[in-house]
Amino acid sequence: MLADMVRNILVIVIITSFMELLLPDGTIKPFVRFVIGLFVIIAVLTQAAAVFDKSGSLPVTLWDTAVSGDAAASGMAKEAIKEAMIEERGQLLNGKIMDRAYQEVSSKMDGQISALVLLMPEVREVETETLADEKHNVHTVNLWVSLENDITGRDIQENREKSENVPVLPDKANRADTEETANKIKRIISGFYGFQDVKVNITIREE
Amino acid sequence: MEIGQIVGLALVTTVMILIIRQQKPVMAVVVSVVFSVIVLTMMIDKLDMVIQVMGDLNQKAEVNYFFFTTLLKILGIAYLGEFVVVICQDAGEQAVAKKVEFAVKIIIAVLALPIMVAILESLMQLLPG
Repeated sequence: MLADMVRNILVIVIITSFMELLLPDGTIKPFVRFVIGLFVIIAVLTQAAAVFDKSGSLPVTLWDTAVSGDAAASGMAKEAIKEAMIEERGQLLNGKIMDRAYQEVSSKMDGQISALVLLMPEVREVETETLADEKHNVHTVNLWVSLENDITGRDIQENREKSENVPVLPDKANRADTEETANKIKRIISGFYGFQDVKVNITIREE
Repeated sequence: MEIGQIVGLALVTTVMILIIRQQKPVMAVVVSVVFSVIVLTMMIDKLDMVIQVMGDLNQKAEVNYFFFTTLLKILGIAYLGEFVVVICQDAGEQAVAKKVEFAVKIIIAVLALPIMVAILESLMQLLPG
């Protein structure tokens, strides 16, 4: 990698030196030399950005339309390579923008689902994670739910009162309650967002 | 050999201008301009080859394409400007030559502005505080 960087900078310095030789003598020469100097700085900064700026948000790299190996290797015509370069960079930028937008939407959706589930009286705490495919279509929603402690206790008591003669096992009643709550959450989320093929996984956290 | 053609043409033109200037100074300037245009036309193909090679090298070095094209534009503007400035000076029109120089400098500054802004913004991001 370091060897590539040094090679690239060397090539640029040689190109710019050659350009300087081509310059006409006159009062305009210092101006053009200044711009050539800027070009060398750009070349060094582009290489430095590859090391120090992983996000690729530097203005220098955003303007970068260097051709990729694929386009050059396919033996395309010069104009076609130019177009391919611009298109390629456009797609890359578009991808970055879409990824950022999706992350924003995804975190908002997580918050929405959590808020929706928290409206249920049985739920004390909830954590949500939405998973999407490459085209940003949601395929799975994972929820980690903590239930209110007194709900299950109260239900068991009510069941005991209703069926005085029939013994109700606490564990069995508890399991039935949590399953019912989980199904209810699934129905609410699927109904609210109109999910058809989206998998909703609910994990009830044990206290 | 193109250099032979150019040298021959230059010698003939110089002698012609020396003779014509005595009788009709205006025509001497016209001959000078025609000679300049002929030399420029002869060299344009060669210049295109040089630029293509530099473009290919630039592509291999994976340098910013936008900045490279801007640099080439600036080089072209400098050449064209200098060409016109010299013609104006030959004709004794120093004031017009100065105006052309001024315009060329402004155009180069405008073209170089995005490069300067990009460098400054990048430096500010890399070195915060």
